[in-house]
Amino acid sequence: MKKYFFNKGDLFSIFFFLLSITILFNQDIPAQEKGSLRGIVVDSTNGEVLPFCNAIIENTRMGATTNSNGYFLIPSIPAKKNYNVIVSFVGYATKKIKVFIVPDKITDIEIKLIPTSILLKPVERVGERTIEKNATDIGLQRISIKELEMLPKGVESDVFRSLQYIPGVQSTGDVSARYYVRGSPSNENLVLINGATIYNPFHALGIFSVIDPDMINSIEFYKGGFPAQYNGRLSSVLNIITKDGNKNNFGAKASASFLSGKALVEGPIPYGSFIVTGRKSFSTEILKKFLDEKDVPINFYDLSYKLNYENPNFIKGSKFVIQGFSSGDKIESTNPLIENINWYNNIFGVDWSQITDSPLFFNMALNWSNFNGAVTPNLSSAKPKTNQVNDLSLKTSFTYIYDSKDEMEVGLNVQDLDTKLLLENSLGATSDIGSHGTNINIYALYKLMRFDDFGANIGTALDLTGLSQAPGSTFQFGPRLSLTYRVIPQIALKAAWGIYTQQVTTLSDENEIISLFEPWIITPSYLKPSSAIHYTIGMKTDFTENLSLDIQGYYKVMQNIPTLNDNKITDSDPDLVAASGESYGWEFLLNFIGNPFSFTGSYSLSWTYKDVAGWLYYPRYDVRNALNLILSANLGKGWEASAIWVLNSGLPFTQNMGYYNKFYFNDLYADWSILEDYKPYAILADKNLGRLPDYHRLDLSLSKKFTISDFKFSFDISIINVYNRKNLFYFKRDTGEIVNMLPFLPTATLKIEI
Amino acid sequence: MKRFFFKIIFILPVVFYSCDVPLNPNAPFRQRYALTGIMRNDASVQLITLTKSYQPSDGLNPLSNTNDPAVIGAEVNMWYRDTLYELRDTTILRTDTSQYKDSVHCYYVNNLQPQPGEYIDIEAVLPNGLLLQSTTKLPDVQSYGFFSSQDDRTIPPADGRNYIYIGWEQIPNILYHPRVVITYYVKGSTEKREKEVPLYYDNGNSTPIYPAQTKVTFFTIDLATINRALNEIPEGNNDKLQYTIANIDVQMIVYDENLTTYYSSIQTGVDAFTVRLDQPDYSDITGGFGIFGSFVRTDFYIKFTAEYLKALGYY
Repeated sequence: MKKYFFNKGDLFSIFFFLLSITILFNQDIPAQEKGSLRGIVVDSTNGEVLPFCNAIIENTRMGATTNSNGYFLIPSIPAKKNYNVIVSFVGYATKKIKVFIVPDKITDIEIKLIPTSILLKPVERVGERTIEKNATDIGLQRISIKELEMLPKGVESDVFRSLQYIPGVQSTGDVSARYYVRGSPSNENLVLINGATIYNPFHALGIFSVIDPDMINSIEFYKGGFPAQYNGRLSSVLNIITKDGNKNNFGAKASASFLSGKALVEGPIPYGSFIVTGRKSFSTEILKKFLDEKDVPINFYDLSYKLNYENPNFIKGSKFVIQGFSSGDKIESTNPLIENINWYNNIFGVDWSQITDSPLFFNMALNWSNFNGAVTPNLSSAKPKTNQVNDLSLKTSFTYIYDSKDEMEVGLNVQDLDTKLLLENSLGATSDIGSHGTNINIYALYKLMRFDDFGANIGTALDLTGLSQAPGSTFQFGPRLSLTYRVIPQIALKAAWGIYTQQVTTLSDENEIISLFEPWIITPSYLKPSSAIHYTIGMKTDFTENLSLDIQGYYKVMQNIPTLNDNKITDSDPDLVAASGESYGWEFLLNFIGNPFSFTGSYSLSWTYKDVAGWLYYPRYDVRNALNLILSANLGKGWEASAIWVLNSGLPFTQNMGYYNKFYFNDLYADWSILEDYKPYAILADKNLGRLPDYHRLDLSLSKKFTISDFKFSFDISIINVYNRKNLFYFKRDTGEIVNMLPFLPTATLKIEI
Repeated sequence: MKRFFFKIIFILPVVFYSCDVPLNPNAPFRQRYALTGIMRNDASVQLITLTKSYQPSDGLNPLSNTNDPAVIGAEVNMWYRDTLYELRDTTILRTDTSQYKDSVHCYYVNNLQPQPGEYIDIEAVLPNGLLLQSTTKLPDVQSYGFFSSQDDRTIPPADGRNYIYIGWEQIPNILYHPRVVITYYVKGSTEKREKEVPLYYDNGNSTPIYPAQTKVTFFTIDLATINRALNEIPEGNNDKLQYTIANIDVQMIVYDENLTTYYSSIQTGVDAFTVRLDQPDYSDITGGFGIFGSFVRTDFYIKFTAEYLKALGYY
């Protein structure tokens, strides 16, 4: 399993050969009598930019898709002519605009799309009918907020939980929103909010993510093969762009569920807009259902704000954004013997996007991301465990679109990361095993888009300096390649390959299925930086406008994965050891979009192995078969319904080979304690060779939207685990007690919008 | 079509309702054995237990097994200073009979009071011929001049500090478990009694925090804490003159390396909300599970001045 298909030398040679060929082929089409069209697409009601919508020039084969900033650019259009530009986005009325293309210039337009009545239209699916037939998007999944809202809520809508319905994404239980992508541990997932890394994006013991869906504009999720601008993690990238706020009118929303209350305020400011969203827990009674009826005094909040400013009199074509995010969780028990646990995330950033008179986009962002976590023992002489992460990142990128439609992007990322992890060492003293590092990363990628039926995205990242002090942390290449070839209009073949590195890790104990303290540290200098190679192939078949099938196969090898050292005995033994891993599988995604019914079916067949010190085993997130069926219906008159049925084969667990009575002591001052102070202790069989029973669950959701006066109401009822399947979560080895996952659980949410 | 939708969502629950699959958490059983023994320098009788592994009677709950897993009839020998000690088996009345009704089976040896720095080897030949072996070395505390105090061994300290400081030299890779007691007598009785003194009081000055196992080589206790312990000795009897305060006895148990590692391994170190499924096991027994370790206990005395006790009403 440790053998790659190619060695690294071969891979670099292939990469540079392809890069050279690509650049040589880029001879710009003569620009005479040609011009470009650049547009920004926004929602007419609130001015929010609309990413990933399609713009085509009528009666031509020219078109483009808007990027995450809502911009599209169609180069090399024969000039001095009028054209009809058709802009469409599912959920909005298609708009046709007449434009005149000026030679040798970029013609800028703004397109305001009017939302169709969501009461009459089917469920919105973004990116299904992309105009870019050669888009190199294998491994990329876009999720719309509408999709998110349609899913039955396990108390609250949640981004992370919705990811778990994507083939290749696994969870290890109803209790956790933590996700595992294509056989990688969860600490290899990069979560970005407006480009800033968030380190511990979980509320309430990991049951929910800290990201309130109401603040989201768009979600991009790469489950592998991600392009060169994303670095620092081995497995996946979740890129969340938040809303700008209503540019036309002031507005407010409020909603309440059994768990929390939420509010949103937005509105225009001179040359811009603002948005503030907040959420606060007010009752944790319902969480008992998630936690084996355990009373966990969770108290959490999150707050997001964003302010944007676009003043053409200041800098033409510029957009400045100030954004912030803050979340906090406290678990403070009334039992003085139980620890207090708290963790906080804070993000603050400024962003400058610039378009110019040439087809050049520029973006610079400075973000500060901070995480603080602590476990504070009560009534004990033990010292608190605390983790602090301070991440200051500067990201700069330049994107140039050639007349040929090809794109070149180069970027510089500088990350200054300081981690502190204060633990009580075996001497009883507090020691800091955190460290500080600076990563300077440059990347370049070239998108070959000139051919209608063939697309390529070739690029590389290069770490000039590493966060870790370990040998080999600097000058690490991360070459990436993604290809698409449309064989016939209905079928596209896709492939991706890339090398990825990671120099941060968590001290995660994979024996823990609920874990509250997973501190982040820079990979210690005694371990090499971890790396992974992704190989992905796929075929996307568009049977009809409304029916598509996406098949992907992947193979991933991982090296030097930091893993908690189970054999640490003395102080000098390392906390972490290097493991290797391998995963492979097939994923199938069938999509049907109709009216009133839509259907998504996904199935994945996968294998994951991990090797620690010569012991090969299935990690806990190795799910052999996973089937998700989602049926949604727009029933009209504001009624929507959906049903999800999930079937997963059982998770691995370690079986018992029996028990022996183990001596437990705390006080050897008592005489003869050795005779009776025993408790049963499980003798474990080979790690994770057993399998829990299969998991399946049906969830239903029914919602109704209606308006009274100026107030828009949305009422949602969800039922989780409709047939009360007793899905086994774990069993307590010391008592044999079986703990099941979520039982039959009805929940409701009411949302009011002004 | 809408009817189809509703049919599907109504049929599925009926099909799957309560179709639960029982869990079998057990791999094929293999008989294993455990030896547990902790040698101590403060006693001349040393005990060990031998047990065998078992399966839960109900398949899941190990506490459902009510058959005592003790191994009877083993041949157990120990070597100390080149002398062979043969252990004999015996039974001792069990105090907790909630799971096992029988007396506790154990093996013992008389007249063996091991000294610091010495080795003890053990071999247990089980009735089926299986051999369990281990070795312990008692901590060599004598060579470290164990206790050293900045005080002049009196309370209050002569330099006027309002706390006492107890420190000792470190032996690498071992744990210390100190305990502080005030020894006293009730007038008319020769029975020595103890009042344990905490390190400090927590939770609004209401919960005593006693010393725990540590690798730190010192601790301090405020005189206020000692005073509080002294004042609690009469337990409601206001006539302090009925008590004779002897001194403060600083007791110390020093674990050997085996016991230190074993103790660390049985401390889960997780908070109340974390759920850990598997935990690595540590044993120093060749051929089985369990622990064969040792400790040394020493005592260090601090005297009260008569004036100090008088001020608290004990004279």
